[in-house]
Amino acid sequence: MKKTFTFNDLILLAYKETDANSTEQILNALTENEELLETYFYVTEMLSKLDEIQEEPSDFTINNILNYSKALNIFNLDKDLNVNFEVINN
Amino acid sequence: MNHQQTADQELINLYISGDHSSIETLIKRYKKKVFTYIYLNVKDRHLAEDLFQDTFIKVIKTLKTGCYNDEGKFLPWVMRIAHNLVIDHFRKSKRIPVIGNSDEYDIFDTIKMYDECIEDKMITEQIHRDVKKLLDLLPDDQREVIFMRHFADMSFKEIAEQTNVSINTALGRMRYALINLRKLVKEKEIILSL
Repeated sequence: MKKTFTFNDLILLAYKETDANSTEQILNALTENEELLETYFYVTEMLSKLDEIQEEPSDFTINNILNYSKALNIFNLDKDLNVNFEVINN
Repeated sequence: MNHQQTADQELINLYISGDHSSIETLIKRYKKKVFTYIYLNVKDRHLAEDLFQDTFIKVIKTLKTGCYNDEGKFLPWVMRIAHNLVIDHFRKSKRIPVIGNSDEYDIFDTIKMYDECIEDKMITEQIHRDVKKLLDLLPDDQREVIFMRHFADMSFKEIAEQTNVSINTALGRMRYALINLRKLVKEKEIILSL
């Protein structure tokens, strides 16, 4: 008996969350079932639209983070990230 | 040192051992995903910048104090930190996100489209605005699952754990979100392609 696949299965496939066996079964079903294929196209199309929404932080923010990281490297810090002046002075 | 192809875990190890450039590679690798996730939640660019900065400061502190132990899943870990900071922000401010349609800087204004003609640019900008508006029209639980799965790269299993629902419920919310998006596209006669 042929297994039927649901919208949820197609979402999992689109996000590569199906195991190898399920992936193969769904891909086979897609070649035989036009309605399922159409639904899959719809899912991937909507997801690709979401992909287009992308933004990035300003260089100023990135530099702030990197400067903080540099400061940690320069100063000797204890486990609570307090500056250990004794070690620096020595 | 060129780290472009270096795996996350290796970069983390290098950073912990003193290679400052490794954290820069990690930040640049994931800045769009993390920032987009935060921005879509808070809908305020300045606040998103602050929360993004707080997220990576926390990442750096955790790495430098040797407390990182996430078995190589760097991005989901960073996303959890970002998610928690967003939640903390809303708890502290005691308000829910609003739909931003003001004069403030808009997420879609800066999407790079240099290679496209002006007309295509305008259409693309309109599509982005439409997708954003459609997301805002979804019920909270459906929008949340889209943010977590699509923008935060969390698996449905992780989403289920984080939101205290079953995997099937998380999947169901995603299914309804996609179905509702399709309905909204039809209702509002929106064209989501060039």
